[in-house]
Amino acid sequence: MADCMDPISRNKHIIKIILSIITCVVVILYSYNSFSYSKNICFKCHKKSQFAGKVIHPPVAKGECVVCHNPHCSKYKGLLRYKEAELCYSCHKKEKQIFANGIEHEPVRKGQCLTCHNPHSSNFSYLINGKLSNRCFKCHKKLIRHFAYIHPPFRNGNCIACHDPHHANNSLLLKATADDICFSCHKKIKMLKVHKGFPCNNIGDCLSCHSPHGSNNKYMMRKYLHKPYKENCSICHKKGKVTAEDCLRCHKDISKKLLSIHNHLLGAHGNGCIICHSPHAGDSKFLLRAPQVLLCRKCHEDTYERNQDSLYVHPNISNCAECHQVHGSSRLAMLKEDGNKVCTRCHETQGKFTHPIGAQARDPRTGQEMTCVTCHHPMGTNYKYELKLSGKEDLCIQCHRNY
Amino acid sequence: MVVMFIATCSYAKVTGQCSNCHTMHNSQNGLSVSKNGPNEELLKDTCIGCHTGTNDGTNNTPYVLSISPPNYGVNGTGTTGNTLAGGNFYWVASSGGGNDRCGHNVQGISPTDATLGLTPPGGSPLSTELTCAGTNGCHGDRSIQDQYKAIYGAHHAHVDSGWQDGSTVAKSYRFLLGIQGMEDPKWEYHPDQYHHNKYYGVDRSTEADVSGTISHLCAECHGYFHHGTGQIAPDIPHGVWLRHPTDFDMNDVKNGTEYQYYNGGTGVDNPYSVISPVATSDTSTTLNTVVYHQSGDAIVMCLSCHRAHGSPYPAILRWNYKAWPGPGGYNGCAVCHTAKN
Amino acid sequence: MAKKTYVFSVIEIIEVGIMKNIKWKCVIVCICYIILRTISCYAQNTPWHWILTLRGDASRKSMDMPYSLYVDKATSRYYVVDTYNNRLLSFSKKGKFLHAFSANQKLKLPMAMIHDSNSILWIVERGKNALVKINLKTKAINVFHLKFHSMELFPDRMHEYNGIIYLLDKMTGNIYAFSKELKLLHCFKAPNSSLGFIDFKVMRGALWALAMEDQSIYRFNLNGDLIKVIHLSKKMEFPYSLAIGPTGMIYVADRHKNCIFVFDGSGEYRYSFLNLGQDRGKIYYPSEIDFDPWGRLCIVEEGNGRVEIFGR
Repeated sequence: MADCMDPISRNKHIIKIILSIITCVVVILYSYNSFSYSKNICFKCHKKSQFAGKVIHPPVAKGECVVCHNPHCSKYKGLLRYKEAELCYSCHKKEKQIFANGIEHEPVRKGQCLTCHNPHSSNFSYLINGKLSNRCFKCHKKLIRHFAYIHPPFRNGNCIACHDPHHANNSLLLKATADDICFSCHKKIKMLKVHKGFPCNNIGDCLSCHSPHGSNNKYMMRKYLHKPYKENCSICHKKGKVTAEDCLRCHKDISKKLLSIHNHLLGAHGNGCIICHSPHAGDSKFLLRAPQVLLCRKCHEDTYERNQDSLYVHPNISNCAECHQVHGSSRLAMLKEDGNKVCTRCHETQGKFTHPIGAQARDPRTGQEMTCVTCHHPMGTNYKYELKLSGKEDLCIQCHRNY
Repeated sequence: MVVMFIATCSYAKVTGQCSNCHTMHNSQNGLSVSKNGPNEELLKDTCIGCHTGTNDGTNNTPYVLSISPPNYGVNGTGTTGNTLAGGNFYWVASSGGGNDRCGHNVQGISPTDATLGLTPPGGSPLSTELTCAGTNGCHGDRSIQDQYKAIYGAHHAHVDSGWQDGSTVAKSYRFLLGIQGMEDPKWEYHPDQYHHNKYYGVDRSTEADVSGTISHLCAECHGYFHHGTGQIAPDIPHGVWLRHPTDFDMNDVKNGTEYQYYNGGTGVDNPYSVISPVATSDTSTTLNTVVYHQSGDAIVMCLSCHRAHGSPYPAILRWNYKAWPGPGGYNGCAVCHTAKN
Repeated sequence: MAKKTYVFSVIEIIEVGIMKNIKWKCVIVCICYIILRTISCYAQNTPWHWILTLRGDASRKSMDMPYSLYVDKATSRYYVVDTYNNRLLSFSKKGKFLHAFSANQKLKLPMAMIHDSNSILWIVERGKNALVKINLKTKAINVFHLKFHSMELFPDRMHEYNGIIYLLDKMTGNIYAFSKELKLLHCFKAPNSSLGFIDFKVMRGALWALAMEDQSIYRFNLNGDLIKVIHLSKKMEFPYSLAIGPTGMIYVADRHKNCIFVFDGSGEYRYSFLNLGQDRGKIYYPSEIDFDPWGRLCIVEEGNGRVEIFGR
């Protein structure tokens, strides 16, 4: 191309190329120097001794403060270049992909890495901000910590012996199935010897009897024992597999509830009851395998996330059974009663004076009865009072079109 | 050819967010929204509750009751202050002195008239104290007992421009079912010749009642002052008047009389007076800025002398009749009775 | 509509406008309409559009928690199982309400139905936990409590194919094939999923079953042998019902997200459409989706008490 140009144009072209090269070199050198620049400038005010520790985050060790921080200004706290998790994942890309599978620990889901980690340095592995158990119990305050018999990993604060702090394929964030975790320390062969006389001469489902953290009962047995388990295993364990029919033979009231439009008969090859209930022992009188919310979250993770991510949520929502008929219901969303009664049990005032509801008030869009849940979504929305749309006008005009 | 239907929009008088006026549960942060208990139609307040305030020309809701003394204007005729066409209930309300003669005694505003009780002057007794709307009220459908049901649909369906033909509550002048007229969009806040209500009147030649006029509305309670047999004048328009004319056109008598000089004019295209306004039988949407332009445009009406809600003066007159001609000069009566200067 | 069609229409309108000397205001308005329509179609990014809604009966009593739909190709009728109202509603192909049937108020929470050619109705009644056979001619009602290896079944969804009745059992999560004499023929088990199947369809010589837990489609031959497991590539919130399209595309209704996910035959996500709402063309708690014999996608909405039918 240069051959086709006149001398003046050719010279101009060459000058442009040289200038471009010089610019690139300057940028590279500046970038390089800015890293070493921070070593000398940043640590003048932010004493390097503050970032000392047994484990130092590599960018800090290299003095590459500007990898994470903007030295001039930022719209994020700490002058971070990006939002917290976004910044971490810019390097920890593999972790981002791994964590996205299954259920994420809440700080991970919210992108709050610094809940557990110190981004600069720490005296603990993995840059944990202090002793591991202290971090865990800072959020998990309600966990009972004092028992007559405490599981050693729990006592030693070694939560990650069983739990994955980032993600897992179960709502308890166990690293593997409960049995696999138990047998990794308590060898199955040895355990078989101490569980003599068990049906089918086999053991498993350890957590259906034992509490993994601790208990006031010997062998960390859970607090409440199922009556047949307490009295005689053969009440349930007859010939063949135990099915839901065996449960319903005694729990006849549940049997009636299952004859509803929606029920929680969940397949499970014939015994859906034991998905939620332990047939042996439990920490609650209903022998639930886990706290209510965690139990429901097993299948209804999406509802849990919606609740966590919404701006406005119904308070004290940890007991799903407060509003939902967990065994069977012929109401929408398996509510205990219709969408009015279930709310006005508590919200009496709102039940007495309200927008028309009930059989005489029909949603013009669908012909369905107006109920509290026509306008409100107690699991959480981004509108005040958990309304489905803004209560100032947008929600009203969905039906009152002419206004 | 593609046929296209374009949706037309009509803008209702009442606009803004639903939550400004309505509350679904009468409950906010554990407290009631409405002081006096829940209101019908999920309203946050009663009629007078919403229509209480101080007019400043920018308000979107007309305030007919003020808590602090309203400004009735520099010339004592209520045209330059912060009262509206209907005046203000302040002077009849307890907080304003509670003068029964200075306003209509409306439920929720003032107690029953101590002298008249439930009997309006020139009319028959009501069954309850006067209400804003309903059977014992003025606004809304007066055949319906309940106030809220009587006014139902009016606020949202109303279109404030154009001639209100009285066919529905929403299409009636100031929600007065059956009454025609054209509404000033500012409710006559600082009215003048070019900005005022257009009242409907009919030139009568007998004492019989007529429908649709603003005077007819007043006459529904104060009938003796409007119609009857031998009540008004035995031989309209030339007979002896027993009561001041209403629904009577001054065009019939203007030539060679004092009325010719209405509001300082010459007898043709006299400027319209907002101090002593007149009605017209013209139902077009052209505002009557002049009087004596055509037949039927100078109709004396009740509101020529009175205000509908309240004024500082007895008999809810527009000006201080007893002290007339007072500091304001020869206004008021003299707008029409020009020879009485 | 294709972009070309719209452009051609615009030119046509201008030509006609000029020839007939029609006011330009009208022409501009028409052009604006076409442009807006084009943008709307592209914005929706879906080939589906609402055709009609099946709702309530002639007396305007609306449906309440309808659970499933049965389409009779021979009579061109839709039968909606209006579960909470304990009745079955029939509609014409155009959506006109025809008849309500409650077996003299004896139905108890019907969940699914089949209408075979011999004037026999098979109804799964949750209230009785039974499969009920009603002879419409003789008015005879027979109630059957089904068992599998002495274990009582909890029938849920039901379909018929080539004279065989297929029932989804909630107790085990398996699907069972019965003859019309209610002799058990085959069992379709979900090997890996402990929660069993949530919905299934039988067509073109295969049974397709949706497992919620692993969000996969299990394809069986009609003898009960598992042929293929199709893992759906996009994670859904609460997959609840499936339909297989005429070209083999897989449609899955997400009950909580209130939309329909579309996958190709190998489980690769293609697109999704619809969202939560009560207006026409929106859905709320879909309980079943299926294709009718005329290629239209029918969505039974429990939350909105109606069935909406969409076409391409």
